[in-house]
Amino acid sequence: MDVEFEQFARQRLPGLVRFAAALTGDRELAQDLVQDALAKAHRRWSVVRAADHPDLYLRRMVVNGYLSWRRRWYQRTVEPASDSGVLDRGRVDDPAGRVADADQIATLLTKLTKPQRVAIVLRFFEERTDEEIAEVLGCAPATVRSHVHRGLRALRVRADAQTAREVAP
Amino acid sequence: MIDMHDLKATLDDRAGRAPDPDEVLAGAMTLVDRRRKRRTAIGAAAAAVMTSGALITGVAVLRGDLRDGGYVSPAGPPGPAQPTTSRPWLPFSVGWMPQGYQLVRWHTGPRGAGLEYGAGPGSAGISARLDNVDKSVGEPVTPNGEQVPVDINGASGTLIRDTEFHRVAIYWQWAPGQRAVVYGKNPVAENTLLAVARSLTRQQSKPAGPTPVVTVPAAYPHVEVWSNGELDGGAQVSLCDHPMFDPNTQPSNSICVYVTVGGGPPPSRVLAHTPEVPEQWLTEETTHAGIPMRTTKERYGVLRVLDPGHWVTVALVGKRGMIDTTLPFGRAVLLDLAASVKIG
Repeated sequence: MDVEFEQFARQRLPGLVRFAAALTGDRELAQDLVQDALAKAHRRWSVVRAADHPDLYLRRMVVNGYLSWRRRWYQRTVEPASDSGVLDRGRVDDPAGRVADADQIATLLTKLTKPQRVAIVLRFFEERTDEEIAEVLGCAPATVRSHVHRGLRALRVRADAQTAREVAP
Repeated sequence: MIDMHDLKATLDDRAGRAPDPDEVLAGAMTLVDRRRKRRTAIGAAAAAVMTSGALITGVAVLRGDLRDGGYVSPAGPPGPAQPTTSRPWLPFSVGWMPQGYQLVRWHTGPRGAGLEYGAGPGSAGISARLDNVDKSVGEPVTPNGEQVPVDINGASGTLIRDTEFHRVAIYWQWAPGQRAVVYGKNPVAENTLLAVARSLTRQQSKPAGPTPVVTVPAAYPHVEVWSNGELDGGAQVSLCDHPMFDPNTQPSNSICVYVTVGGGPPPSRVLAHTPEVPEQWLTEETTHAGIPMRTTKERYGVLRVLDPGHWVTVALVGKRGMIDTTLPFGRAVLLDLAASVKIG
């Protein structure tokens, strides 16, 4: 079983760690989340192997860990302000309406609720469909659209017309 | 406004900082092995207890011990505080570090203590730490690589050479139950890392830069400190009623107080540490010990502005039920803590 599981994990890990890093903005936390998800996947190997979408199943495990309050117990670093989660510095206003740089976007990402952040990353980094995101978040596709819409609004993203229509709740 | 292109580029950039898949897989398999061993231990002990005819009580005790990491939960809610002052220090010193390396972060607590230095973003990094190996969740830092015996000031050490990912680790026994680890990445020359390892001394050291000093309530005696080196980069002190040495065995009835200090504009909310309370806005004005503060509506969290450039938040962390149980006396603890914070 271990050999089969390791083959499975090696195939999926590059994408999974990139997803976790994009979601958290923190290498160590991403590693922590993916390690835990893999250990759980190993324990439930028969279920994971039989899943219709094992990739989504793994992402759901990572997301569940990310949403879990218990993660706080052993979040080991005080993260930089750009994507803290711990060091929340309040809203950074951009009154001039200038194009934000990456740091500003990273700061704005911290203002989203975690489900909004998950939805944004799955949609715009992994280009997942509403149905796939719903499977990961364990909610209805309409809720996903709402998360994405509100998330983009909070990020003050100038979505093009097509995107705006797609994500409108 | 932000363009969609900027958002995607930012997410790509974050993904570029992903951990090494091999390292993650090795860590996951370590967790799997640990669970197997634990299951085996439970099974063996259960069989022994069954033989003695004390099945129910015995297994309950055993499971409790494992879940709580061998620590006994407090019998009731925390009592009156008998505070002590905690000044962060490290139980060792790094005597030498190559030129150009700056302190990036440090931590100290029941699991051990460590310092991390970097030569710039994405550049070479060196960390030195002491692990309490009978308590730490940390396993060998680079599981894959050639192992070479080395001498560290008369002690037998091991150097692990991971040529594929340009990492080197050196570890040796520092004291009974304590292991020293010096780790280099991106890459660091072996001789340089050996020189750093040999420069470690048993002299206590105070981390560079300002550090948060808090008065520790007797009810939350287990202290762990994490810092980004400079106060403006943020630092956090966690004060818990249980020691936090192993996340896999952290009891669910634990409760902690997180004291977070930082620079820049004060936050408008504190982080919600429980899923039932999504966010905690600091909306209420109050005064404690003559110091103006701001609290959340239910007083789960407190904000105090230390000076025009720095602030501290204090928040209860734990399950909602535990927080509710703790709040009647916890509110005073939070306010006392917020009032006690100093920058040392």
